[in-house]
Amino acid sequence: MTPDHSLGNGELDELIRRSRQSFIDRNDAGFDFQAGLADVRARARRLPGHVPTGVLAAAVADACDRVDEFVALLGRAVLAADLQSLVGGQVQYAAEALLRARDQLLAWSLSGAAAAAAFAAARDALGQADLMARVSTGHPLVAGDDLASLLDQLEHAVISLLPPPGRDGDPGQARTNRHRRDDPPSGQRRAGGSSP
Amino acid sequence: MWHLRCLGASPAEAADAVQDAFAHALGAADRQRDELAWPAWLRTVAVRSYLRTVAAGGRGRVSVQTMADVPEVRVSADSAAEVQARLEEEMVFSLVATLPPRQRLVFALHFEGCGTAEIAASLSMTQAAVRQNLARARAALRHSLMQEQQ
Repeated sequence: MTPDHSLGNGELDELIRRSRQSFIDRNDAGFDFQAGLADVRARARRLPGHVPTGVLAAAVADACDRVDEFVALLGRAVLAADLQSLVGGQVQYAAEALLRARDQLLAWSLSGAAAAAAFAAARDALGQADLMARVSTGHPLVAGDDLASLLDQLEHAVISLLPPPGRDGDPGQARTNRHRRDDPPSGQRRAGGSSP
Repeated sequence: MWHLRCLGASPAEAADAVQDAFAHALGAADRQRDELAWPAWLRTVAVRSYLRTVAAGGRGRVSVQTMADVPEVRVSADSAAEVQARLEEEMVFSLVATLPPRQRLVFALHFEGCGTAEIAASLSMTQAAVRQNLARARAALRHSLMQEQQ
């Protein structure tokens, strides 16, 4: 569209507004929200002296709490069914993998690959434990709950806080916040009963 | 993005500054309670981020992009309209980039919906100065458009 070059103010304003709206519409249409959000989170972690607060800290705290609750659920299930001797080792292995990922998430040093490996290890160990429980008692390891589904939801909650592969390299290396593992950010709380 | 492009940022620089602003916003979410203040806050942080990039990279000059001719290819009505819209956008950015920095800022804020009082407050200017800068920006753009036509 060739602009009219004998424009008055109204026509000039209309040209600018039309151009601006077109620019915004085109950018909105082409914007990958999930990738953009992951990039923003990765950048937030790299900010000098950044202390996780607000929305990001709340999301991390929530994910950590969910890991703690899941591990506590496993512990209660094993004790309730008196399966400690039978599947205790498998459940302990899964719990340790999840808690290690949880601690790394809290310390902002968890990479997507490490998270995926931790959940894969936990899924494998719990699958074996569940099978052994079913064979031994005729009941699933965690009564009334789909263990695999719970683990999937938990993995999604954790992974959603991490940048997608290839966008952030190794978050451990890119980490700029200086929290130590034994010095969690303010506002972070650790649920009780985190070990089976 | 539009604001930064008006200030002379390339698409990549504008996207980078906007992402940085949102990253800062994540950490400031619990300090900024007034939802209405977010747009101005994000804009300010994004502009600062862009200016830091300019300073760090030695980019002091505004690059004025020349307009490409419409390609001589068969295109559908939709794609032709899209090409025209893109050309018009780039033309506007190029013309706005030729304005003095103060006029550019006032002009961009005006078209983002900020009132005279708001622009004056955010740029530490009088309202009269805002109106004067806006009028001069409009006059300069009309002049630039005429020159481009010739």
